[in-house]
Amino acid sequence: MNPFCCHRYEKVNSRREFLAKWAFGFGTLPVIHLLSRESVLETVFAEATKNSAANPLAPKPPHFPAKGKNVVFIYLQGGASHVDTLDPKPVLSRYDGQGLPDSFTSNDLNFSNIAAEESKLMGSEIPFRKHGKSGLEISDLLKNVSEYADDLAVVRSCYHESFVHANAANYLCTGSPLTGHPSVGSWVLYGLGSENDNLPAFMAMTDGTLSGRTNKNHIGPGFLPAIYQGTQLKPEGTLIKDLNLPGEISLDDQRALLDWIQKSNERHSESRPDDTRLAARIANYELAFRMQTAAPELVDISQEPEHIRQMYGLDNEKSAKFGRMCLLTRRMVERGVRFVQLISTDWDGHEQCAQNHWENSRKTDKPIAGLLGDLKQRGLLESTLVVYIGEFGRTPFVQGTRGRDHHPYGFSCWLAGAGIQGGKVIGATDDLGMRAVEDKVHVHDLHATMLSLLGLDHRGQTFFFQGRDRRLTDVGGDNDLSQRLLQAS
Amino acid sequence: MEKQEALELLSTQARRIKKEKWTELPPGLEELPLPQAAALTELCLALFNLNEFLYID
Repeated sequence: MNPFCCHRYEKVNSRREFLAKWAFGFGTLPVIHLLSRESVLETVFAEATKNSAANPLAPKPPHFPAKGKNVVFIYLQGGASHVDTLDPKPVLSRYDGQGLPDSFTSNDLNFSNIAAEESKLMGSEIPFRKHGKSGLEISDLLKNVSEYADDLAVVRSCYHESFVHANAANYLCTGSPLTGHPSVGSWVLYGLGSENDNLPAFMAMTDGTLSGRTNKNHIGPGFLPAIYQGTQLKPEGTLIKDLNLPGEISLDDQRALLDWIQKSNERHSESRPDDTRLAARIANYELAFRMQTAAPELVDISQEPEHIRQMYGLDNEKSAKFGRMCLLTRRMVERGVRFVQLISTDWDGHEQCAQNHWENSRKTDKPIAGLLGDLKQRGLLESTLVVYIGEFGRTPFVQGTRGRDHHPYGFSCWLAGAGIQGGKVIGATDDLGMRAVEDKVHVHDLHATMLSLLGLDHRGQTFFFQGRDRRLTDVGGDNDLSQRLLQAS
Repeated sequence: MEKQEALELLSTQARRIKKEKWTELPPGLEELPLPQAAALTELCLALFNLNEFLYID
């Protein structure tokens, strides 16, 4: 029950609850500050899971039948240039070096670092080619991924309203430019539960460094119960920190200690049923114990045959790191991990954009193609939705030395798997790649589409928080593409 | 009840402890027999990880 909603009252059991729930939770701010060093940081207003006895991670039926069961969300952090990857613009190349026509400038187009009217158009330096039976036009930056062109649905009309990284990344990863909202993975987990009791159902890996706060937003549970937050794995070395038992403690010792801790924690929780952090921590202890057996098997890729390792680019120094992330992703999907978020960092090409993107292509193209191919050959692509997208595109005009600025007004992504009939293009930007003009797909529409491909109605996927039922798609998501994606071209 | 449970845990863990694995104990516990010192170390670790300790009322 939300204590702020009109005519709703509830008993307060402790001083802590009083501080958390009344006076807008101001009294807990010092505690939040302390807890921010913990892996769980979420709002103190979070509504509790109504039935604490029920397992909030138990598998739940979708709202309607769907092929999609798992998601691989590949997030290109920094923003990949749409006009250099998925949206060929011959007109832009023709007018390379000229000023932006007046008809294309507008007061509602804001950019992070430059003024559009003072810049010059810059055509792509990257060749585009037609691929597959569909003839889908994709640039050489995705040369290996292009082998699966007939499995891809390219959306060239994505857009939103945030032109700076933090807000745009929040938009893409949580459906809101503001912090504190649940990540897409958390919403999916909330809707469908987990299929594997021994591994986290939402895992994330990044090939670079993200600030702690940014990363918490990308994989955090926001106002959903804390149990739905993502678990971060490192792609190299010790993948899961502190997972292995210390030498001096046996599994039996560990179990006995854990039983004692859990008994004490459960007694403590009885009088605090609304605090989802407590329940999450109890559940996470158990999960961590089970992971001590399951996770080493998951992350041990030494038994993968050489041809599979090559498929993911593990034999190449540049692509080995992201390749490992992709190979682990396939192993996670095989084991029923519901949502895997892969973050490829450093696409922010303000200077020498093409050079920046080539570098990122060398790291990610082969691994992602390997993942698509491997999922496909194992029959897993049918049930796995793969999404490839940055938080925005990049300007069709130049910044600095052949760089490109942030551009949320029209950019591209591709989706594959989960029954999607590939080889198709949805939407379009104008001739210069400035704005999405045909079949516009707001980030809310993309999220509605993702949920729909998993059998979840985005309007019915709600959580009551601060006086109203919240959705991943807020009040948007009307352009759900799922039916068109599932239809043959 | 909590005190009783803690004592039971100490006693159980002291019986389980593999002496050869415990090469290092926190300073100040040298005077205790090794199994008891190791069990007390485990109990303290468990106490510091209780929700009651981390989420103070």
